[in-house]
Amino acid sequence: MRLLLTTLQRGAKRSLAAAALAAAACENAGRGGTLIIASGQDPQNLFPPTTDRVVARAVTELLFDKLADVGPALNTIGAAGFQPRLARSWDWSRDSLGVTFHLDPRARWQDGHAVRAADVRFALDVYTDTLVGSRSGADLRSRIDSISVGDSLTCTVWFKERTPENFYNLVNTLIPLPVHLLGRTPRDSLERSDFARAPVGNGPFRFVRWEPLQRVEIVATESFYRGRAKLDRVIWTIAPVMTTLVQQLFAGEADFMDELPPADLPAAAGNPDLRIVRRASYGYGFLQFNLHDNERSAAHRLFGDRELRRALTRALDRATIVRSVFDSLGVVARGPFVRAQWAADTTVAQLGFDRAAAVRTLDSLGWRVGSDGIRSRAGIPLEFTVIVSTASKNRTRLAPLVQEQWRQAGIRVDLQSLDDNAFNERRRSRRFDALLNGLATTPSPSGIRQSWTSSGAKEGGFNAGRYENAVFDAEVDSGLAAGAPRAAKAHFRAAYQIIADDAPAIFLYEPVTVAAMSRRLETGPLRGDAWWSGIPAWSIVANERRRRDSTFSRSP
Amino acid sequence: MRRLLVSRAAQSAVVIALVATLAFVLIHLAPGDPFSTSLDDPRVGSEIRDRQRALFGYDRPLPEQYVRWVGNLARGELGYSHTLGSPVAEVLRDTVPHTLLLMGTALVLGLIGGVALGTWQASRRGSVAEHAAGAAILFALSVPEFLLALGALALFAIHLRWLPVSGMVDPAMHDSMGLVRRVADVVRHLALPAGTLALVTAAGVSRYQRTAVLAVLPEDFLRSARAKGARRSVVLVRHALRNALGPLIAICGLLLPALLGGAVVVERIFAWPGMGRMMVDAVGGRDYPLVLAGVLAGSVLVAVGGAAADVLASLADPRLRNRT
Amino acid sequence: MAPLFARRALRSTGARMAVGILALFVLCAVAAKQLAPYDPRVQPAADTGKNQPPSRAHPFGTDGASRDVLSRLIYGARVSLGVAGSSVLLAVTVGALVGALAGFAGGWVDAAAMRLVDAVLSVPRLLLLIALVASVGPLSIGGIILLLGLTGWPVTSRIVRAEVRTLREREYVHAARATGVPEWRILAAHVLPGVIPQLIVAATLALASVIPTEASLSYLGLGLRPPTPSWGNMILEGSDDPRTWWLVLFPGLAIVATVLSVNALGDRLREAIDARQYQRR
Repeated sequence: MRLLLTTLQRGAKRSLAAAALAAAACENAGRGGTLIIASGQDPQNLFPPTTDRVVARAVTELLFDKLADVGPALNTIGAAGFQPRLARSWDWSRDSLGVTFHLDPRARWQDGHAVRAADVRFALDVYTDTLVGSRSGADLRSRIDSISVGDSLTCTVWFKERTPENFYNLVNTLIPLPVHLLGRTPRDSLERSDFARAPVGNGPFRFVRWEPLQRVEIVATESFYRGRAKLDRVIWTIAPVMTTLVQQLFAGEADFMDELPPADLPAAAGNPDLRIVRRASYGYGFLQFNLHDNERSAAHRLFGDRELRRALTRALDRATIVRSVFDSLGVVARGPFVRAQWAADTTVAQLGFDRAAAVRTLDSLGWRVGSDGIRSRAGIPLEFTVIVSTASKNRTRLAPLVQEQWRQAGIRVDLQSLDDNAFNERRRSRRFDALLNGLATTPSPSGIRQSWTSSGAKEGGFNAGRYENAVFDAEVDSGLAAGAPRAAKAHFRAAYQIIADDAPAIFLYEPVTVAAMSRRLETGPLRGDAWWSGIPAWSIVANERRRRDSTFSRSP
Repeated sequence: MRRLLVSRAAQSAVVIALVATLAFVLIHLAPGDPFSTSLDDPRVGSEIRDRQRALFGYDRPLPEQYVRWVGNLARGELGYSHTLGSPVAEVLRDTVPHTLLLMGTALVLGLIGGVALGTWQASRRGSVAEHAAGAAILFALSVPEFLLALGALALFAIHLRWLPVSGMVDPAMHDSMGLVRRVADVVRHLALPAGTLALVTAAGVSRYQRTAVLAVLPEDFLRSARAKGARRSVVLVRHALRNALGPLIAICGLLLPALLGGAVVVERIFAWPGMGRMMVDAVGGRDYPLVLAGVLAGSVLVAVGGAAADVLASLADPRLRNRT
Repeated sequence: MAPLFARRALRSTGARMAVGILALFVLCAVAAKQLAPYDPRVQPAADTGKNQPPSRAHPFGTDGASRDVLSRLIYGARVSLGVAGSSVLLAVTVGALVGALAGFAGGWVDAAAMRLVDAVLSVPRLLLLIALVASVGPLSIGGIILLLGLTGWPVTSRIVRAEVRTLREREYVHAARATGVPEWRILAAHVLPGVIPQLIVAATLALASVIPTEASLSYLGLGLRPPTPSWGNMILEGSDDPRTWWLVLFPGLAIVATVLSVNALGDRLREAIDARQYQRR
């Protein structure tokens, strides 16, 4: 009996102790842990103005804070919904050409210096300096007139013109840089400086190491002015082969992968340790016709003909193609936009799949089927080359599907897979009949100008097929200049309908991007244009912690 | 001996110079340069591309670029890698040791395994077991390394989960480990890539070893050794090794190019951070300085390894000394 | 003379099996159109019929575009063996010419040729090919044959040189020289025929190394480009997902079976030649 009593008492004591421990754990709930991200590439450099690859952007945007960040609604017009970062607040000048930022006095560079207005001005200087070679320099140069520093925590940016997306473009691209560390470095060697490989930031994480071909490691900034990140550290492991990356995730060696290949979706969905999260995608793929013949400087022998282009579009069963390549991870694109953009319009009338109609048009155009099953007109076969870059697995898989469907309509396609450099060389110099390509966009629809209007048609521009239609151009320009979203959307809808009818390209797919992650990880929704932006709030479920979540050496 | 060394060194130098020039010319004839990819962005004006090209001299005529490159090379400057954002010399410093570790391990394991196997085969000449082993060896020699690597990955890392999928160290834990556990960590990661290469090496070595043992050991010796029973293997190995060591070392030199070629594929599949994987990545990014440095480093490795093997072989076996 | 050693080599079951396997693949390559159950390009159901495991209708399954793997394998034999065969022919021809020249001329010609051989051999072939592909860009079938051929000749030239140097010192060659026969005719009439067995062995060696090399190059994405089906790039396309094992296994087996047969045949031929030389002494 006594024995039983003591045992009970002991048990009670034990459960009390356990409760105390649990309470302590609750206080630190969500704190700590290591996130391992599987990446296919090295970051190339970690200097914000010159970063380009996704890894590099993810790492630098966790090391450096912006002035303000797009809100969850991803609105890009005006400053509505933007969240304060380095700038605690901002106000517009009366003519709305100037915006004054008030910096957070608690913000610190990781070497202890305060973040000052001079850092903002310096950053703008660096971004717009052609010696630096920033990818967004030209855009900032064309938008921004000057920047004036009030006191050490106040600065005003003056725009050249009033356009709806000024604020978005400014705060989304410009990342303040420490003038006290970089002011003396020659501009043309900034990209290759030590800072670019081991940056000193002011963000929620600080840099620890980058071992080329192996890993990048960052750890939480302990006394971060907006509150310490929940995770202790984030590590990117780098492997060049997709199979290896996916297997790292399956084996629990990595926790997160931002883009799961469509082929691996069933396996990932069936894995009890993994969770699949869809996120908005900002890319679309298309087959682009070259409307001009570069050598003869005349219309292309085939694709100068609008009716032929329309017939070719009708001959493709895009839905089947997309299902074959992407399974459920892709939808048919409806124009030069993605559904996640505010200007998107899925009601644009399409040239849908109708082989019979396509065949009738081809017949009426004089393209008759010969004995070999291939159409020809006046002895010239309906035959052309489609180039595709081997850098894109999806498009390499998609190309033979297009080739085969057209063959069934009597059209012969010579498919050329080129390595990325050769492909881009051909695209830039316009030496192609048709090409398969993809574009990455942003929440803003402004990219359409470079890619599809006549301003992008000149040598080197991204409108490689040289589609030129003055009405289309005008609608796009009006859409970009319109201050009210409704008016802008109407203009964009008109533009999208024109380009769909002219068929200078066949808009094929919009991938639905899914991230795959360990169930240990709690992330909340992922932002479509920057999945990494929420990482400071991510955490590892407390009872799923592993050794790697608790043991790590803080010193670099 | 000294003459051998000098002539071998001179020979290697000529060969490397030839290779370097050839590689330089060919790679610069290719379409595109480092900036045609890295700055291929509608937002970047052509003036920025041109300025960057001028900065690195890619706008100069080829002969001028060549002279400058050779000059820099002579001063030990290998240029700057645009895909990895660091000087080429640093990239080599980071990657070459990893490749050496991988190849060295594979070579040692392959040699031990191959010698043992070959000697055993010679001692069992004509038996069913020997025939089976011979067939297995031929099979191993006929499988391309990338297939072996894919198979090993699927079996040991994915299906059985015995070994890590990729990399050289545990990315999260390695730095907080003690020395012993760090070594163990690397060994675990090394097992699959080195094992793949070692298997191929062992298969090759065993064939030489079998022939060599049969050539030096008269038939009756084998018979008497066999008659003596268990101790025969010891005798065999000692006797056979003494005579076959020289050629064996020389063969190691000959195996190096194939081993390095295999390392390229294996490093890629297992994400081993070595120079072979670095080179394939660099080709994609038109990272000229890195590709050139990779070819050079590979050639130097093979040349130095080959020369060292020759010299060692002639030290080990005086009969070889008068041949070159 | 040559048929005799070939006949001796073929006496073993292993060698006969090897010849059988190779003959089967060559037959596939030649009569692909008649043998393949399907058109390798046709995608009967690109969305629903893809990645089907082996079945009665598709013994080797279907790939990611619902194409029949067996048919692609058969057509792939044409590409893979064609590339391998042509490049080996090129390599052996170049190698034989260089080797014969070096061995027969001797002196500085010999020294220069052998240094060149050393140069080519001292760069790992795959590394050299990667650099070459980097420089010449995307490769056509002709281009890849040329590259493989021009990097594959040194081994042959060494073998031929050694053989020519031995043959050159034979009595009948000396006799011919004494009677005033011109050097080139001695080379053509007396030395080269004697080299042929060694040349065949060299060709098997070259073939056994070129097939995996081409496959590796294709696997790295630097060789033949899809949709041209080669065994190497079929593996590349299929190796993404461990669950579609048939996309890797069957082309992999085809490569291994071919190389294994070539290796086995080469071994028997070498043994037969050694035996012949042993008898002659």
